[in-house]
Amino acid sequence: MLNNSPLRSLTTIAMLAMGVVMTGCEKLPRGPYLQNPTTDSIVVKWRTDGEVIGQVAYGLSENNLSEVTSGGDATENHEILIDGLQADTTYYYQVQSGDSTGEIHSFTTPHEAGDATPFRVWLIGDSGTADENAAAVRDAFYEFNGGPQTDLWLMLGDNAYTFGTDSEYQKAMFDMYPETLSTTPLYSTIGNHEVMTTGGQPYFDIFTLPVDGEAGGIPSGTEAYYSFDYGNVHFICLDSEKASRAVNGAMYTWLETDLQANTQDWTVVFFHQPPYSKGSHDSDAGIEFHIRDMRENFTPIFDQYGVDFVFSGHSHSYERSYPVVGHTGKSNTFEESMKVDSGDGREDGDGAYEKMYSQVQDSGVIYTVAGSSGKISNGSLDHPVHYISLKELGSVVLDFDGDRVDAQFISPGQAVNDYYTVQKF
Amino acid sequence: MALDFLKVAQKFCASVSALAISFTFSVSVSAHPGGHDRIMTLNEQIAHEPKNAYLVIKRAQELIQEEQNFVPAKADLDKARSLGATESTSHEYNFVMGLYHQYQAQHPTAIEFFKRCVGLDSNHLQCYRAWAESALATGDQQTAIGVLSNFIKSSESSQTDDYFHLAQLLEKDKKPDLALKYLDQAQARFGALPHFEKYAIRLETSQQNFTKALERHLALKPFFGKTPQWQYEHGVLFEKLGDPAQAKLFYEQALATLGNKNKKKNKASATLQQEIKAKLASLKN
Repeated sequence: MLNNSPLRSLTTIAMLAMGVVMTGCEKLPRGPYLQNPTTDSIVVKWRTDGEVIGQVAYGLSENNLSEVTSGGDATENHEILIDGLQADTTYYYQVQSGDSTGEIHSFTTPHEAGDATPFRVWLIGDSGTADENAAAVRDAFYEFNGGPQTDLWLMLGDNAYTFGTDSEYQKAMFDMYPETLSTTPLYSTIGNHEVMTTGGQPYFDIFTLPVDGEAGGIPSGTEAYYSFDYGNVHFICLDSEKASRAVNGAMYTWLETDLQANTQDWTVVFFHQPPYSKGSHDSDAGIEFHIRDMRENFTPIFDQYGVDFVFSGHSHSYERSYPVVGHTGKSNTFEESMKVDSGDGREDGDGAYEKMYSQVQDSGVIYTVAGSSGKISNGSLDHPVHYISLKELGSVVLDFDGDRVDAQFISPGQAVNDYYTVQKF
Repeated sequence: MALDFLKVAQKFCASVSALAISFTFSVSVSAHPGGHDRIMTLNEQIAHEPKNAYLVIKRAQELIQEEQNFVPAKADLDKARSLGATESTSHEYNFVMGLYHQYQAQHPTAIEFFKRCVGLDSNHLQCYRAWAESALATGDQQTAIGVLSNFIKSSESSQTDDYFHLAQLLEKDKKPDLALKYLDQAQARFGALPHFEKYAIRLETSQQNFTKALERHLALKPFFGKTPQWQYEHGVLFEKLGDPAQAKLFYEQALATLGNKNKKKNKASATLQQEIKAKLASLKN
């Protein structure tokens, strides 16, 4: 885990300085960026201005990039799988495009499945504005985190407005987060804006996501929904946009299979359209049928298999629930008895939320809408499932540490506007 | 999909001129509580590029699919047509015209537009799916199956979900063998898909093909053979095959896995435990 420490800040400054003084390095139009990490492999992607043969040199020291993996045919869009790596190990790498070489970056491979070593996850939602708001949210995280590199990064959809085109992705993702992209493995779920361009083709071209269970989990055969393990956590990405959301549909059938096979300590689910929101999208509104489907059809299986956290975007606000079970209706059907814990989850408040490993079913799912990483929009922000609802820009940080998870909502200006802890016994 | 009051509203509003509709639309959308930001963004973009047919078609699609707001959608589609179809917009125009009719339950007309769309773009995944949906809505299961199976055969764009959906249609059409064929075909193309195998096991079981079901279930062992759920299901299949000794073995294994205090349980274990105990009790009897 990369801690928030002075040492880390110094490292960041040194790395940034190194980037400035390194001359002769090729300025790539896109990337490099890191995809589909497993304990023994990672995919490096980047784009060049012309078609050239690409390769990646890598090693355990930035002074000794002794291993080289080549890409094959000349191309503008490079995608190279590096394998034979060790789990939980930091590697340095440099992409080489024809005769040009890029800067040296580093990444750390995931921990083995089941390994409870601490790690950090950064989550951003609806970040695709490519403007000063997205930059402010990014910088607030960098300040909080002590730099742009973390262990794992999740995007909650609508990553590039308005249509999720390749050029919009360039501005909203590649130009906005280059330092994090080159150092931190990124996963994403598809948003409603992504599917506006040829059913989301640019999104599927940009991301390389696990379809064969290569990082743990059950193979889905599609990048639209998938799962992976990172240490003692199982992550599940669903598609609230294009896939069938029916209970007997392919995605639901896959999810049930995946949850049955899951033996990790923690389970995190993420998809774009939130089951519960009173932000810029009202989950009670009749036209919100994607939201309704996710709530009515999917939240029961989350309860059944003890999902711990569900993260979404779509509404441009921050809304975080109590641990809840059994709420599939509109907001006026929510009852106090559906709260597994009616406290704030804060150790300096009502106390951390507590869960038992031996009592998985109906143990309480915490739902978070984190769709304010690029803009904020109006809404009544009063859904009763939520402990807190904020019209604030920001992003979410999850720190996993064995039996404990700390979640924080970080806004520009170094404001921690929400925080809570979940402890398992 | 289609709501009666929307049909009435459409008839009422049809008498209003396109210009007035456009004006009303832009005001009403801007005032929409809470957003629909894509439509608002499209409004802004169209204001800058009023002759961009693609943007106008996209707005029509949003209005249909997200708001079922058919009158301004039709105004947009008419506007797009008047702007002139180009290679990059004509298939989308036909697709969205199809949606316009589909969402109002005018399926035969919708199908005509979907046919035109795939005639112009033979890889239009969404259009094939929409066409199949409309065919199903008219009760024409054969056409729905034909559209999807042809798409799967001819297009590299088809995905796992298309195979799954086709298998479901074939099951409904009482063709489980054909459904199994497509489930297997998908796995041959995309690799092992345990959820497809689970569906196949259900189909085999419903046809009393317990030997085949057991073979398929064994293929799932690498994925979750250590879970009590798999062990229990394996026992059930042995019992159906008339092998109570093997069934008992797997039920007991499942119970032991559930009872392992060192293991963190991953599912609704209490319910499963009850089911297994009931099975074991029935075997004794």
